[in-house]
Amino acid sequence: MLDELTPAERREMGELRVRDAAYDAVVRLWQERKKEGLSQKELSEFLEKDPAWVSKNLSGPGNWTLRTIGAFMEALNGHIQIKVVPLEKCDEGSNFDFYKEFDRAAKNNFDEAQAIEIKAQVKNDVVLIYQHKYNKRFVVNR
Amino acid sequence: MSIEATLSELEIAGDLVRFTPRKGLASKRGLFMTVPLDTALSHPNSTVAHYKARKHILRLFERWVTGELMTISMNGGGTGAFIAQLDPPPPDIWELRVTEPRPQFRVFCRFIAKDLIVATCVRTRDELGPRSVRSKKRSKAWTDAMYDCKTQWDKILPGTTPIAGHLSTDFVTECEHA
Repeated sequence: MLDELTPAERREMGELRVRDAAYDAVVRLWQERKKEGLSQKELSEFLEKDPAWVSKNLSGPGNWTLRTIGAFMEALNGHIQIKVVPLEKCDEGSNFDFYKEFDRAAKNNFDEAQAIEIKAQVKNDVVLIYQHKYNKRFVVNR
Repeated sequence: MSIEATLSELEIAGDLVRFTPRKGLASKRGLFMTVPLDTALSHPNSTVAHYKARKHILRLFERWVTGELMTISMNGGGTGAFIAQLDPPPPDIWELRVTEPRPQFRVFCRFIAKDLIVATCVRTRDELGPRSVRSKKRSKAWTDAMYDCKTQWDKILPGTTPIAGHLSTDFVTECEHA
């Protein structure tokens, strides 16, 4: 499905990914600082924003800009590290167990389905087309 | 039949569509969607397309599947939660909250297993109206959308009970409370 995005959507998706990565990183540091004793009031005082603004921005990345990221990073006494790697060199390892099982089961069921296809063609002269769609997905079209 | 086999069979039959992250990125959680939802996200004349919300919805799906930070609400409230359990009836319905752009969108779903959801339908937040059942203000549109979720689930997964629980960890391995 992500492969079907238009170039414009992909560009905007890229922006959302960057923003979300920054938001996630800031929120994780905020959670650490909270455990260390930093309060939201202190945070809002440093940011010179009212507590409602701080609360709203920590609850979602919707309005985040580079300015927001930088301000929170300083307020939390953080240091930013950015790494952009080629997607083709990403190898995050295996999927979680459920997807592994799906891949195996899908393969097995596909083999069974192929057997059904032959039978159907002989008896009913029905043509079934099997094709890959998305990753490792087998879709049956009549 | 195991859940894995059931979902695989439905996927092969074209009744469910699996959301996969970009190649190279692992799936840390799972998300399947119904064909009507897939259509609602893909069709050029859909409400989602009209509001140019597809990328935002897919981004939330990607956040879920790739195991990024997920804030959760167990009581339907929780400003800032990406996923929230809704007050019954019907039971065990959840919403994925797409809070941008305006209008916001809500994707209704159920957990078939821990870290694994089946998403069934999408609505704009505007058309849903008030949500809270505790204040007796829940709109008919909310109830209808939740029952639509249940109906689609029952149609595709008859006899399969969504998982239930009171703790966030009953549903999601790693999450933060909103």
